[in-house]
Amino acid sequence: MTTPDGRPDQQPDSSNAAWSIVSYLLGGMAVWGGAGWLLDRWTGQEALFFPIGLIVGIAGALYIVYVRFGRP
Amino acid sequence: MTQIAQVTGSLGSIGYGLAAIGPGIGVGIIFGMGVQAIARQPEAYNIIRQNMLLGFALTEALALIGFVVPFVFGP
Amino acid sequence: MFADLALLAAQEETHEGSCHFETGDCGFPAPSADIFELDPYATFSLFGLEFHITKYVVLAAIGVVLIVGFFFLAFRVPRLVPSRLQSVGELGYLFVRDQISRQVIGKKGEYFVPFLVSLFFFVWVFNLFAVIPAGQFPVTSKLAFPAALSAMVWLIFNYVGIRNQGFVGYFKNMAFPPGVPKALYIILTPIELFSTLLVRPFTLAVRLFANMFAGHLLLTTFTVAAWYLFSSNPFGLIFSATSFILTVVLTAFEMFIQALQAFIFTLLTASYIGGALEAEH
Repeated sequence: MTTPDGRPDQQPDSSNAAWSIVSYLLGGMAVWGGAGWLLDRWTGQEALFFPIGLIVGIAGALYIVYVRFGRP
Repeated sequence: MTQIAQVTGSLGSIGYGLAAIGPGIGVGIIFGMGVQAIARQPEAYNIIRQNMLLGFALTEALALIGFVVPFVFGP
Repeated sequence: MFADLALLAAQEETHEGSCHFETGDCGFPAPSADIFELDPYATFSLFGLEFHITKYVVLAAIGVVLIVGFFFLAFRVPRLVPSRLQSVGELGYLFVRDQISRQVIGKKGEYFVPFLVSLFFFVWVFNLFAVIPAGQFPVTSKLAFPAALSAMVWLIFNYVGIRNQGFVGYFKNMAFPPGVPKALYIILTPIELFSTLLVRPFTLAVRLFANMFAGHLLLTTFTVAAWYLFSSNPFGLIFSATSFILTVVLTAFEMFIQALQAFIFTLLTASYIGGALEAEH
């Protein structure tokens, strides 16, 4: 897309950046939260690995967002 | 002690509703100020856009955590 | 709107007979998710699968005939100085080509413009059936329709990515973003793969479906409220008139949302295809 004064954007996926961010966050929570939940069921704990997995997933997703969208 | 008020039913949805107030205001502030900044200095668009997206990601993470927590600590 | 009123009036008559006109002590028949369940007009079996011809199928077929017929008639004999129908068709085509394809993909996307034009007009006409009388269900409020469109988009952008960057190269570019310390790849790669291959088509379909579902439910609620509040005392008339005016205002808002959702669907499709055409960074 073009910037307001007519030059082309340096990042080609500017129009779906916001939806990409939401899908990275959801994907991170789903993958590592799901892994944590399965680990909970396998070891029989009550909500121990599930929150840890969620936090790891969110941290990973935020790092991916920084790598893809936040670097100059 | 007599009960004066009681909330029954889906407490998770009330919890998410309360948890979404903060990120809603936060996202509004981020993009509002970002648009103002672009209006003041259009040649800084790329830098402003990067920072807007970073701020949006951090704020949205809180809203999504608020959605998931009722399932973590639920029955 | 009138079909919903007729349906609810018929239900009332079979049970209690307009009880709120006479005694005023029956509850508000709030519309819920089961107003979307319709009886089929015909059912038949083919190869062991059951097909139900409901109102959605009929509306979708009418939509297909309308769009194909319009574009066929507009571009049947193309002239350099366009006729009236051709200029309207050109307006639609050029809108998608200039505002969506050229902005997002650039020159390399000319091959995909017919697909994007079809997608935009199909989604828009399917959404418009929510406000056309005698139709009144947005065809895209059944999850099957957006899900099928989203599955088609998913197949296309994966195929384009694999064909342009090679099978291994496409997945390597997707799964391993550059400039990350090697040890973090264990955490990041499943997130990347899951969010690009699974979450993207899911959010694409669910965004369209949820917007149309919620809009239709909103319009139905205000229409039923206008009917329910209408009774003999003057306060009922005022509330009913307010609800009716709100229905009109919300219909205008709903038409805007329909066009916007069609635009966003096509824009995101173009963006995914553009991202698959060139390697990420």
